[in-house]
Formats: sequence, structure tokens, C-alpha cells
Amino acid sequence: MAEKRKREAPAPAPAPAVGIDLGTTYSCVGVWQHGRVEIIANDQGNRTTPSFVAFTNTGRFIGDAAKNQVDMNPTNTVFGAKRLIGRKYIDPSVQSDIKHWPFKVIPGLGNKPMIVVTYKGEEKLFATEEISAMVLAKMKETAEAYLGSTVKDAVVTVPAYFNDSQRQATKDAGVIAGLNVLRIINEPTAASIAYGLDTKSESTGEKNVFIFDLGGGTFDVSILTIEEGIFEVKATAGDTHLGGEDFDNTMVNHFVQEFRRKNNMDISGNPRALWRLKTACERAKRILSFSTKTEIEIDSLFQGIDFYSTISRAKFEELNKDFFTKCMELVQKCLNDAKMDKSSINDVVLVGGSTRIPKVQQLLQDFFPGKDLCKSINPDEAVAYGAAVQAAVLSGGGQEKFQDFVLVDITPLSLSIELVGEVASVVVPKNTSIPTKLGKVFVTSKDNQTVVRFTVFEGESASTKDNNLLGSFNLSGIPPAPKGVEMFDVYFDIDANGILNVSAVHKTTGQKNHIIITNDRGRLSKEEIEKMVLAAEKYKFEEEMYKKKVEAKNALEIFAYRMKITIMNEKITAKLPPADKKKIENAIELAIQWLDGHQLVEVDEFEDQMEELKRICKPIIPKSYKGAGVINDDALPLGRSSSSRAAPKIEIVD
Amino acid sequence: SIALKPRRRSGALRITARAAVYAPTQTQVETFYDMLGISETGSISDIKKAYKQLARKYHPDVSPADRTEEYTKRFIEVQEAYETLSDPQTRALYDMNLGRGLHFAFSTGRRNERMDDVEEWKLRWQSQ
Repeated sequence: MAEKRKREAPAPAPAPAVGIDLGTTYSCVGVWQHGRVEIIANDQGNRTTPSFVAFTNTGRFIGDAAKNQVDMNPTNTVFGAKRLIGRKYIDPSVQSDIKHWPFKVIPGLGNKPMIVVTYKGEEKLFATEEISAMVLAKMKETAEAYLGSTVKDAVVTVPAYFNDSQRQATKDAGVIAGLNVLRIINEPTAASIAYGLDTKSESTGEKNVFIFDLGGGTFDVSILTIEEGIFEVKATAGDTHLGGEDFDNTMVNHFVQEFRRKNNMDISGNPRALWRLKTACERAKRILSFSTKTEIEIDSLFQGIDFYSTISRAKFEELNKDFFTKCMELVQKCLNDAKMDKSSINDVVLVGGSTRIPKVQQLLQDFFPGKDLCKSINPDEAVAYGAAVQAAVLSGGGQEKFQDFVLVDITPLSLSIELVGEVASVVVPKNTSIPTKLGKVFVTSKDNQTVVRFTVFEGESASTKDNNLLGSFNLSGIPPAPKGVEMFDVYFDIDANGILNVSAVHKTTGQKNHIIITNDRGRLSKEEIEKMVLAAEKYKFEEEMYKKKVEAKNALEIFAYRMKITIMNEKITAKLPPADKKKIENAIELAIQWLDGHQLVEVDEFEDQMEELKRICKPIIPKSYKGAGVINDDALPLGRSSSSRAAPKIEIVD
Repeated sequence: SIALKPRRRSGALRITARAAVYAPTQTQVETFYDMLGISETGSISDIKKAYKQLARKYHPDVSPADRTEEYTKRFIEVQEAYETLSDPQTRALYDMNLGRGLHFAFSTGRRNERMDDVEEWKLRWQSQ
């Protein structure tokens, strides 16, 4: 139905491209409009949306609605998908995360982690990309509700230190969500754009900017040189598994032990208790950013036992000191990689919710003495802000404004060719500006070798077995010769989108082969993506149906109660024959009773009830009610009203 | 004898399996200074200014859609020139070689950390 109506409607003007910060714990969407970035609030009025998806017997919920019901439904509420995306099930970080999560994760095909939930009474398996796609689709809808047209193009951000698998999987999630991902950009780089535009008016000359981005799940640092709209990324470092979630978890572990000591009971096997404790810890963590001590109070946490405790800021800092130390080590590493002294940094910019932690700020302040930590940009919105700007640049949406805007990003990880003995031979070192083209010569390793295999890896280890496999290809038809004689030119071509093309040419015969790295073993196939796109559309349709049911039910309910009030108004009923009045009263009462017994039946049934009640109540429907065009006979049946944005509402319009 | 470490740039490859010798480039006659459109005595600020102007023109995000390939190639060259000349050490090496007539379009970049041992280059082989 919805599809059909959409086609009948005149084609709406294409919406501008949006920027989406797909976060571990929260996501945010922005758009460049009327010469500025607008961060778009969701249907709950919030400018960030929890990256949560919940499955229940009645339907699927995304965002605030999902996060708000975790208490009641912990095993079917999925969050932190960003910590799984593009990783293998056997990855130690995945294994450790699973232990903290109330929902179930199992190994799937190719060792991909699969999320298991019960949806409408049935067990369902979801790939991480599908869960992330649901969050992206929610952000897309948020933007569409604001813009009033269908959003197609988007720039999606990832941590700078994400590897190729994680980036590709994020891109796949975008496709499943029905988005055309213009580009995957790095979060600290996006934040630097927000910073750069924010300070554009006041700045003169070149500035070296240090971006410190500590979010809910990931940590990135980047050094950029910014001048007059040119953003040059110099170096980046990070940990794709370090953030606010980890701080919460150390607190949870601390209190689980405390509960064990106090009550001799282990709550770690109880998802609901763990979730409630985690929620309390997250709240405590936030409070400790401005208070030095706070309380944890959870009634009936486990087997009827209440849990009350306190935690000081000092204790919180001690619990997480290893994480904070790690952060500062990476700060130093990034400076080393950029071959810069910390004194040459002009500004230190804080991004991500976890930079509100006083200890983090203090460590940074101590590290960069005499420098103000820049807090003028919103740490929760800066990434989406920058993504929105880049989306406008790439879609040509704001050309005159962005004429001078160029972003030169870098590859965060070294790219190499595997040599005999699993040795990685680096062709593109980390922190190389892109686009780039780099080459290297390789020789055969065996006598009379006629086939050579080129295997491409990504990562910093000297041994390929610790690096991330990107792909491989063969070159055959090499004339037999002693080892080391036959030579090959190997080129690594990386475009501005970060797409890597590796080619090899045999020097004497000119034999060529190449591979475009857009696929690796862990990645979804085209067919799988197509299947997931269809599934996503089905879920969305079901969700819309559910929404329509709720709307139809509400419409009937409001109408019935409205009529109940009207029939009691003697001015209106004065001229009404008593028998008719009785008939109307009965019909209203019946409708209300019917509603009590039919919470969520088909839309048609609500509409039939409505029609019937409307017919009987016609003599008492006020003129103004009719005049509003909502409930006269010619109007559309309620609950089938035009677009989803103009939800059918019966307003009391007197 | 060339003290320079071999680099791994496009255009002419300079590493061979036998010896690290620079092969003179055939087509490029442009020096890095030519590429940036500055004189050989240009200051660091001249270099940066020139780079930024050229980046605005040749970066594939802002170049005309029908010339992306050509402009990307140019951008990569300009980037290499800029990176080499904006580091005093690599600029000195480049200038030295330029003075010796060892003129090539691409020089050592900041990325050349180490020279791989020739033996290391041997590819993992695959028997048919």
C-alpha cells in the first residue's frame, strides 16, 4: 500500500546528502542546508540516537525506544554492533565483549559473528551488518522526516583506525539500509572539519591540530594541519576497542565482586541484573565527571536483594587507569608518527562523550602544558557535523561555499605483499596521503617458477599472520628461469575513497594481473547483501504495519471517547430522539469494550469499527469536526491516511 | 655511489632485485620545483602555498568529473613534491641529487623507512 501510494505521489525533490556518525553507543545525523550544518533531532527530540535495536513479540524498535526497554528484554536488545562489525567470531575482543552482553552471539559462516534474537516468537539470526543497517535506516528516517524527502546519499564515518574489513562491512550496512554511501570517512578527520569551520573566521595561517576522540567504543587520535580550507591529515593512531563501554564494564566487574563479597552470590549469569547494574554504572560514570562521589542504588538487583553502594571519582580513575594510560601512549605514538614535537601543536580538540572524564582532560592537559583544550565544538555532534560537510562537498551540494575546501586523508595502516615465510613487505606505509600510487619490485623465489601469487595484507606486524588479509591474485605464464631472475612491478593504487587496486606486471613478458580490494573472506557476497536488503525492507514494512495498527487503534479510541463526551453534552443531544441517543450511547460503549479486548488486530478491523461508530454517531458529530475534514464521509478512512509523515491524527479541533 | 635509500614511487621504479640503482626517468623532465611552480630557492612557506593552491585544483574531490583520472595523477605528483620539499632533510638530499644531474621526478619520501633486503623480496611461490 505504502509503496503504491509513494509512486502515485509526485516525485519529491531529491534530498541533500547527509552525514551519519554511526557510533558504538550513539549515532548522530547532520545535513548541510542554507549555508550551515543542521544536526537533526529524532522523533523523540534527541540529537543523538542510541545505536540499539530491540526485537519483541510485537515488533522491532530502534534507538530510544529500544534502549528504554532493555530492562524488560535484555536478551533481545542488540547494541555495540560496531564492536563486532568486520571482525571474526574468534577475535579475542569479540570473545571478551560477548561475555558482557546480554544478547547471544554465535559463530556463523566464515566465522562471522551472528546475533541471535527472538523476534515475534521465532528465533532469528542477524549479521552485524544488518543490525548496523537498522541503526543507519533509523538515522536515514530521522533525516527524511526533517527534510521531507527521501534521503539517498550519505557519508558515513568510521574510527580512523578501522581496518579494511571493518570499513567494507560498514559500507555494506549502508547498502542494506538503502543508502548510497558516497564515502566512508574517518571520525577524527570529520571532527576536525567541524573544528576547522568553527575557527575559520578567527584563524590565520597554518595550524597543527590534535584531535583526541574518545567515544563509547573506540579511541582515535589524529594530527592535522589546517589552513584556509585545506585539511591535511598527518598521522593517526588509535584503538578500535577502547571507550566508555569499557569504563562501564570495569565498574560492573567491580560491583559484581562487591555483590559477591556482601551476599556470597554471583550475578554474572543474569543478563537483566547485569544490564541494570551497567545502566547504573553508566549513570554513575557521568555523575563522576562533575561530582567526586556518587551512589549506586538498585532495588531488588538479584533474588530480591537490594544493592546499595558508593563509588568515588578516585576509585573510578583507579579502575580504569590502564585504559587512560593506553590513551596517552597512543597520543605520543601519533606525534612520533607525524614526526612532530608536542610543542608544535596549536590546538587540542576534544571529541566523543568520554572526553568529559576529568582524568582524561587532566592527563591531556599535563601532556600539552599551557595549551587550552578546545571544547568549543560539541563532542557528541562534531563527527556528524564534519560528515555532513563532506557529504555536501562530495555531492556538490554547496559548491560556492566549499570551493576552497579540500581534505587530504591518509591510510591508517601499512599495506604489504606477502613474501616467503609469511613476511610482510610494506609497499604503502601507514599514514601515507591518499590518493596515492606506490610501486615496488619483486622477484621469484624458486627455480623455474611459472606462477607467482601476490597476497595483499594490511597491518603493522612484520609477520603476515598477524595482519589482516585483503586478497590475492596470481600471475602465470612466467618463463622458467633460476630464482630471483624474473621480476615484477607491483603497484598499489589508492583512490580518494580508499579503494585499493593492486596490480602486478611481469617485466619481460608484460603479463599483467590485478585485484581491486573490495572483497575479502569475511565480507558479505553481493547475493547476501541483496537478501539482507530485502529482509530489511520486509522488517520496515512490518514496522510500518505495526505503526498503522497503533495509529488506527488510537484514532478509534480518541474518537470513541470524544463521542462519549459529546453525547453527554445536552446542547447537542437536546433535539435527538431518546431512542437514537440510547443507540449512540450503546455503540460508543460497545466500541470501548471492543477496544479493550482487541489491542492489536488488523488495521481493517479498527477501521470497520470506526466506520460503524461514525455512521451511528453522525447526528452528533460537531460541524467543526467535519469542517476539519478528518471525519466526514469523503475523507480517507482513518489509519490509511496519506504519507507516513502526516500520520492520521484526530485532533480535538473545537 | 648513491647513498640514498631507494624509494617506492610510481613512474619509474627504482628498486631492482640486484642493486638499488636509480634509473633516470624517461619522460618526466619536470623537477619538484617545476611541479609546484616555484624557484629552487623558494622558502618553506612558498612550498606550502603552492601545494595548497594546486591541491585545491587537482584533488579528485574537487576536480572536474571528466578529468578526475588526469588530475588525480597530477595530485599524486604534487603531493610527492610537496612532501619531499617541505621536509628540510629530504629537500637537502633532493637538491644534492639535482645538482649532480641525477634528476628524477620522484625522490625519497618521508615514507621510506627501510630498504628491504633483496632476499626478502622473494615472493611466496605457488606450484601449479
